[in-house]
Amino acid sequence: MKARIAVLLLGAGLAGVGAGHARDMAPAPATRDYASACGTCHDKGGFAVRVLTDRRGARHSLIHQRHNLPPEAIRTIVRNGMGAMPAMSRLEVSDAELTRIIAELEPARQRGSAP
Amino acid sequence: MPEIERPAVSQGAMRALANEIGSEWVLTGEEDLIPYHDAYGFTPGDPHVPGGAVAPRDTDELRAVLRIANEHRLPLWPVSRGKNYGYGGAAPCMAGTLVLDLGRMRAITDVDVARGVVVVEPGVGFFDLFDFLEREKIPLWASMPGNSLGSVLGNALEYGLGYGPQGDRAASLVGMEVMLPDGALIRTGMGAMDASPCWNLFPYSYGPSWDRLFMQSSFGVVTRAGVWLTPEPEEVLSLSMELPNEADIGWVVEALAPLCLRGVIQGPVNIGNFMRIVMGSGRRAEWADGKHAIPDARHAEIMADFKLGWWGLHLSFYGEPDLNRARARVVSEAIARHTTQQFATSSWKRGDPRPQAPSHGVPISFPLRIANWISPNGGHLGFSPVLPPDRQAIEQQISRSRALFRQHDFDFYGGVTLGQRHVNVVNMLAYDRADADMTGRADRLFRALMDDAKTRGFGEYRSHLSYMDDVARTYDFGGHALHRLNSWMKDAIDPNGILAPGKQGIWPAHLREGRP
Repeated sequence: MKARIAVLLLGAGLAGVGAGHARDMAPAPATRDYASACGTCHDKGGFAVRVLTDRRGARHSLIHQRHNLPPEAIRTIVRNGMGAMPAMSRLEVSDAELTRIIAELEPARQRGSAP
Repeated sequence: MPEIERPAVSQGAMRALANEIGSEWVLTGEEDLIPYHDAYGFTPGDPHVPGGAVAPRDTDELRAVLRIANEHRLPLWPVSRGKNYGYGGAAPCMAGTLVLDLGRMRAITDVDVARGVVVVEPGVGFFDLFDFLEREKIPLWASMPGNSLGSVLGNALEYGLGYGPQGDRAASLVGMEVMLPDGALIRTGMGAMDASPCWNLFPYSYGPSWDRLFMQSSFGVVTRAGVWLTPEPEEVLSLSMELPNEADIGWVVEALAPLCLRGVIQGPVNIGNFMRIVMGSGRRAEWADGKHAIPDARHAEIMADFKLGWWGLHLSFYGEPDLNRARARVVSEAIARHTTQQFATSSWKRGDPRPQAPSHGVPISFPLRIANWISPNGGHLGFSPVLPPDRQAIEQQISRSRALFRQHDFDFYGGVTLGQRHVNVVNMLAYDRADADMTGRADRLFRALMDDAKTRGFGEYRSHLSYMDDVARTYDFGGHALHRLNSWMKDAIDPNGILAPGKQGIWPAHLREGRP
């Protein structure tokens, strides 16, 4: 039997993908923007988490729990890249998506890890 | 290398592009173009600086872009997602070329679950495909590469090799849709027939096969293609063995090559040296001074620290448990003729959580970290000649590679990938992009590896932008007869030379002057 699934456009109506499980600390933003743009490397188990654990310790390894990342720093790092992190183009993360991601990280940052 | 004239991108052309596809998708600002530079490049003056980027949404917009490019003789460098780090990323070969970023064409347009096929557009990344298959609960696995940020289609078009039964990704790409430089849209294979249900099921059709002409090529823009996936196996049975000695690679190739040939082993076998793991650790300063190679005398201590052998042999079998066990037994018997060591085994069964590993069809990005091995401003470059799967040839290649790495003072990141009838020997070198002494040594080492391989008839099958002319020149049968055919074809199919000038050493007529 032939099983075909209708045409699917990525990015359309996919809220809930990558939804963060309850964690002790601030959860990762449960949006498609964050999950696809950042979460593949910056959520638990991701490569950037390992790099940041080695460099800055486990406490600072999850960006959504960092208290010392000003919005402008996030924007600069995303657009310029940093270390092994490649710069991301406006196709990968649009300015509007980046603004939304930064806004999502803001409250998490406020109640994030201890200083 | 001759001085490359940097073509100015005309304002009229840019205005025309903005009119057709919207000004927000014609990128020219300094910050907009950062992702289109070669992040690992080191040549002073950046010979691969992009002139801008343009990102059509669909084939109609792509056709408009090609028309404007033809009118203005605007060179375009198509990229799917531009993540081929170590080979130039999204950057064009010729300075000033406009990057044609296909990342917005990001649909999975069709899935045939029963036959294990998806049809993807260029912007679909390995993470996208994985997320889609998981979300829709489709029991199919894609072959994943080490750096999974890239495009499924782009990786296959560049002859990417990787894990799993469909690890020869170019061979798994079946049935293409291609836009030619004049805007004509064609489908290859059975897709040349309207409404064929077999477009992505049979790799040939009637008459010449054009598919390979569009791989590593500047003859057209591939806008979608079928990708063969592996049906979710009942079980994955994995065997691992850490081989203590550098010299062990010879008998491993001798033992496994016949099993790859006979299909006992499914897909390519990737055997890496301990440095492949260690270089992702970020701990270099513990063992070496500055920009010099870690001395061989410290290797034993590092291997002990990481519990690694000189080579790591990892095999996986996919399918019915009985078949997997039979395959594992044949492999173990072949290995037992050379060592008393036993394989460590592990298995994954359908329904278990998937390990975060490309061998199990799960994307990863961790290998990107290797770029940071030498410094936060690092990069890497690879040379991977194709050899016959012959013990002596591999032993001698590793020994000569090691000598050249020592001579140029680089850590040897080495790998051996066995295919059904060939071997790729991966030689990767990591450097600090800002250190002129080190990048000079990297360039000399790359050229020494290439020249050495050429004297034995071994050629590279992919390369960084800066070496495309050099590698193309090593393919010299009949006084470079294939190069002449490629040039003839380029002039016929792309008379204005708008697509990817310089890619794989192929230049349009007006830029060919003065090149050997």
